[in-house]
Amino acid sequence: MEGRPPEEEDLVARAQRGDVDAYEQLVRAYQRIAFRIAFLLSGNASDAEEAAQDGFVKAYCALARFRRGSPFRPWLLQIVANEAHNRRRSAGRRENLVLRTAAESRPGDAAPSPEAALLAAEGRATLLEVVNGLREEERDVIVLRFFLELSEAETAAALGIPAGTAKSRLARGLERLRAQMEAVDA
Amino acid sequence: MPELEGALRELGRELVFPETPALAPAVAARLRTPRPARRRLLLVALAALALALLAALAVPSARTAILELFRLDGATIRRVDRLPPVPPRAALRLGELVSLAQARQRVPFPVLVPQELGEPDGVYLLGEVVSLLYGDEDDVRLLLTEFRGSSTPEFVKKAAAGATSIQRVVVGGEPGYWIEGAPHSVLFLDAGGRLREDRPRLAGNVLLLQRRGLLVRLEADVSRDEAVRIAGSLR
Repeated sequence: MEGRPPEEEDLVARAQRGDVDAYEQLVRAYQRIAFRIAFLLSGNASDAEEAAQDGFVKAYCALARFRRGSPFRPWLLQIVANEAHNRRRSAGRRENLVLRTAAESRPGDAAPSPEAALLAAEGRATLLEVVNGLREEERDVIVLRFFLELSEAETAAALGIPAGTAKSRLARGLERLRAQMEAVDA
Repeated sequence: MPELEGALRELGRELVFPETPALAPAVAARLRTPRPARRRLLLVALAALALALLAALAVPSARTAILELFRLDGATIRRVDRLPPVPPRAALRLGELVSLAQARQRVPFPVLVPQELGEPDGVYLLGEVVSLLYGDEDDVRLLLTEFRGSSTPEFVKKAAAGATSIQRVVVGGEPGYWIEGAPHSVLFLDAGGRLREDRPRLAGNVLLLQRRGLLVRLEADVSRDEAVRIAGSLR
């Protein structure tokens, strides 16, 4: 479904020559992750959709600046993330992130991981609340890195910050989370 | 502490995200040339052509002649110091690819072809605007745009950068302008009253001329004399 298309390099090359069909395939491959990034950064679905769409259009116009052979996904996601980020500043409203209820639990998930077992549903809700309470710059790296499971490098690229900055924000965010979870538990 | 990281990952998998909208078709639709109404197209094309003249309009000696040529007397000129960034590869959006014969059938004016260059590699029709392209869309060598110049944009707002040079030239006894230098851009209001922007199609210089009621824009990376010679062979 979603993922790096095997012929990505070829698609990028064709899109750079103005082939909209090829670009459409690239968008299809990355629209889900792009939309989710935009959703987490902008905070609501309509801004996210707009940001993702505008981001994809801008990326197309900027394709000439994309260096062939370098990873396409982070380059693309950065443009979308930037759009989403800009929308957040002006909007300032954030939809609550919603957790699946037990009834909606994914099928075929009979054997929960040990980490999941550690956290009851209640625990998850608390953790989510604590994450949402983080300072924005720490929250952003945490949600991209862990909720969307981007690599550290992609997280940094998406947020347009140096890898070292992403790393230290991540460490600070985790530390704060840990402290707050302990405070909740106590 | 890997437990916390694992718990965060697990939490992410339990989040309910809004359904991903169908972005791919929406994006593709925006990138493909829309087919707006004829009238607006003409206005857009006129504005595109006019943009080449904007800087010139600030030059007193050229102003009168250009205003006369384009009947833009009602236009408001606005100079901007800083132009918006020009995307390196804006889509050309020349319209529908047709044959030269089809173009001749469908527009109410004689389509002029520079005899010096022979038949163009592509003929495009956008409303009543004809574009003759030499080279191909990915590698344009020369672009000629022709349309009737008797229409006047109802109103045009423009933005021009200062550094462009403009020279009057005479081509086949009719007036023309050779425009080179800084890129120019135009802001204008379309038929729907929306503020839009247009930019020159190519990075080369522009020769603009009037031929028998037609406005012809020649864009190419050629010298002035060469452009004038090519334009002089329009039949």
